[in-house]
Amino acid sequence: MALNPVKYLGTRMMLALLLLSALLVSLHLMSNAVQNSATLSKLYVPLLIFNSLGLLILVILIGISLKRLLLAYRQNRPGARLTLRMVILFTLLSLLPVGVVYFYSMQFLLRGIDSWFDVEIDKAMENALSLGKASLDLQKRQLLQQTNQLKRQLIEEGTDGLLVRISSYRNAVNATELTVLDQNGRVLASSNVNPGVLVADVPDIGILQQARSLGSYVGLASYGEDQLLHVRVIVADLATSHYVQALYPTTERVSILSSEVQDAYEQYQQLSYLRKSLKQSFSLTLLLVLLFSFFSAVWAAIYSARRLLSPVVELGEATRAVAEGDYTTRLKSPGGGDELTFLVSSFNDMTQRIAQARDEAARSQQQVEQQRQYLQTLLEHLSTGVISIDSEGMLRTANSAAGQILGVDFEAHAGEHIADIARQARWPEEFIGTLRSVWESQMRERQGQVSIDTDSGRKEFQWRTTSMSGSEGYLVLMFDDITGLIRAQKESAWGEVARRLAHEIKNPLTPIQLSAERLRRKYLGKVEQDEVLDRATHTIIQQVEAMKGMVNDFSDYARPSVFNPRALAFEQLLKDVLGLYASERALQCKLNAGDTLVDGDAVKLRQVLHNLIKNALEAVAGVDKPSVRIETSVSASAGCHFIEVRILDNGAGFDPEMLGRVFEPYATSKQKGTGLGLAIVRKIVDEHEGGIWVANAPPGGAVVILRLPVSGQNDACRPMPAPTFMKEQ
Amino acid sequence: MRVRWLLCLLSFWAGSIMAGQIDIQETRVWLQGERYLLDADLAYELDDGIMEALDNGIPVVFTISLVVEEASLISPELASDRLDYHIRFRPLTAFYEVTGPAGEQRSFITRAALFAYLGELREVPLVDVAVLEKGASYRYRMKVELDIESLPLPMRPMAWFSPVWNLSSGWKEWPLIP
Repeated sequence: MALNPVKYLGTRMMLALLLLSALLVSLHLMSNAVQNSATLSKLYVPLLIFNSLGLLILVILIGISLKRLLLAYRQNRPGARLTLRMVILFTLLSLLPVGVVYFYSMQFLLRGIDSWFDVEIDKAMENALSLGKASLDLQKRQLLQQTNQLKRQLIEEGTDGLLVRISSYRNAVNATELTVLDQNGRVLASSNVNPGVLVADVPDIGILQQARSLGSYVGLASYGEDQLLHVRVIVADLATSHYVQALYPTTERVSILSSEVQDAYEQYQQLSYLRKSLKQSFSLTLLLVLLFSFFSAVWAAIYSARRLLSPVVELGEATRAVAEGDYTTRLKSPGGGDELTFLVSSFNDMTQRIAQARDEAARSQQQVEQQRQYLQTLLEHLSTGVISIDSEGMLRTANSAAGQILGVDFEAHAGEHIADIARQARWPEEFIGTLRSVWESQMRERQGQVSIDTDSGRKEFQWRTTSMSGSEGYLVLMFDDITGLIRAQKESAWGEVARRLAHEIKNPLTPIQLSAERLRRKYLGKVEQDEVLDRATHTIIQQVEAMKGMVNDFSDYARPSVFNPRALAFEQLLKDVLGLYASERALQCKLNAGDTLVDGDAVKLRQVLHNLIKNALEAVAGVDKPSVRIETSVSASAGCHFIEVRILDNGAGFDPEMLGRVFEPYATSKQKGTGLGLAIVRKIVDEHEGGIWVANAPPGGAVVILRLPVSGQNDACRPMPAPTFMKEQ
Repeated sequence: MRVRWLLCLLSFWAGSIMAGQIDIQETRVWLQGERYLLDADLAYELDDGIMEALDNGIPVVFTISLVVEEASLISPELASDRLDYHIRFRPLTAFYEVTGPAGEQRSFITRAALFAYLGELREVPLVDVAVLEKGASYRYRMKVELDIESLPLPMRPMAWFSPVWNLSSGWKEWPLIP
């Protein structure tokens, strides 16, 4: 879990402030210690160590902060560059005054200390001490002379009774203490002006050695309870190896003055000796203060920069998040009511409004998408082909019905010009020109009818154009396949014609026939030239029979079909039919369908096969080498499994003008026949959901292709795929 | 860089060896009346730097610490004492003046005499007989050192980190059997 940066910064600030406060107090104590505060002077070194450690910790903390800052700078984190710049600026701003103060303070301090030890003062102190010594030297010489006399007197009088006499000697020379010592420094006799002093002041061995080597020693000594200045005189008697020591008092004034001079000189000498240490000590303290001020300023710079730039950095990160699409970003107000607070508040408002707008846009988009899907579904399930074309005539969209009914893969032609697509699809040039004129003109509302050769044969289409509202220049082209409708209308019309013909013609035929037969029975052989009667009545009866057959055909065509499908082996049915034509030498069979079943009406299918074979044989009648080839196979196309029967002949073929309407009633080129054969065939094939196509074979003759769905395949074969040669035509 | 550091360390180490020393050469404990007294022979070898400071009026204090304790693991302290010897140089008389623990003053014209005096510690009261049990094992410890805290303040930081001024005999102990 990420630590709250502001809280983290606050905790660190508290710790740093605590450290800085402790250091400040410590520096203050150290400063007092340097000023010779008796209480604090003993804490000087611990305070020095504490301050050094404190500064070290501060340096480490600053170092860590700077390292993080540099790392952030190198990683190009938001705000790092600005923070570093501010830190450098703040540091420089603080370094300059602190450095100036430090420099001049040091100068002042060092010169101040040096001024204490002026050469004149130094000389004066030396002179004062020399003066003191000189003033005492005269007295020393007199006292030495006096002590020498006393020694001679003592030697002359001998050591006997010395203990008794020594006091008088001391009184005579007015000494504070008079002592006679042997060669080892042991006291032989001593007298002190103070009777209470029982132990004589024995000089140290060094003084005695000096006295022995030089014969005498004269020096100053502090003596007595008051430590008054005395002149110590020791004279040695080389003959007896005895020493006479006399301690002569100086006057109290001389003693006090000498002591004061000595103390002053000693203090001055001490200070002079400590001059370097003093400088170092003050410099060290000042340096610590400088470092404290500097590091505090650096830390304050880092802290201030972070604190100041924190909202800006957050704002930068939030802006980046918004740019990346995250509109949920909200910033915490820094408070204080300044410009930053206003900026953060504005940013939050902005992101909130963007989020609302985005949600609104998403909802709208969703609605549009739903609408689009609805329309798409609607278009996909329309039987009408719908094509949209932009203002440049480029294909934009086409529903699946358009592809199916027009036999064009519009997805593969997306973005192509509709004229190019139309030409590839073999649309009539006249129709293409009409379309061009529609999208080039302002009159978009047009409609018409066009015949287009598709993969599944020539089809009749009702087309309409309209402009697309909301899309400037877009054109919507709609196609309705009306081939079936037209055919149904034709079939209906022909059925009506056939029914009326059958009704109107069939009724008078029987009386005509009966009348002819009656004339024949009554007058044949009874009138002259009965050959004419015989031929005429015979012709009437024969033609009436023929007309009856034709009327029956019309009647069959018009009569509603009774369709009884069942699964049957198609090839067996074909073989049965072919058995009736066993004598026809022109027939050649190549049957490969095996036992494949079709769902069909055996009677009707037999009628179809009879009709087709009969037509083929009639087509090759009179040809030198007549040939009718019948081939069967089982094939599959577009997921539909079907049996295909091909009947090829080498006859004259179909009249090209008739080719498009051979399956229409009364469309025949034969001298005999009603022209209903292929129409009935087409009707039966349609009832079986199959397909039948006719074409002229390239070397000559005709080819008829019959396709029937394999049993159980009916759903997959709607519509029945057209044969390849139809696509190539 | 490494060679420079090594030389620095070596010079510091050599300086610490040649900086002078205080050695407790011999101690004797003897009974006088109801109290054990201590005699000790000490050897002071001071660096010239200290002597220079002394001759320039810097007072120097030697502290002798004495502790008597039971010779056991816990070692409870039975008696302790601290003896301070203040030494200063008097420029007018050219004497080294020593002020003892009891305030007694002695002056010496030479350093040899000064340290001879300081080196002979005689009849220092150690512990009362009554404090000790007959037959029990005790020990007494002794340490002699230069008191840096008594130096003038400006000298202390330098003295703290200088081997010249960090003079101490270290604790030395001897058995004490009543």
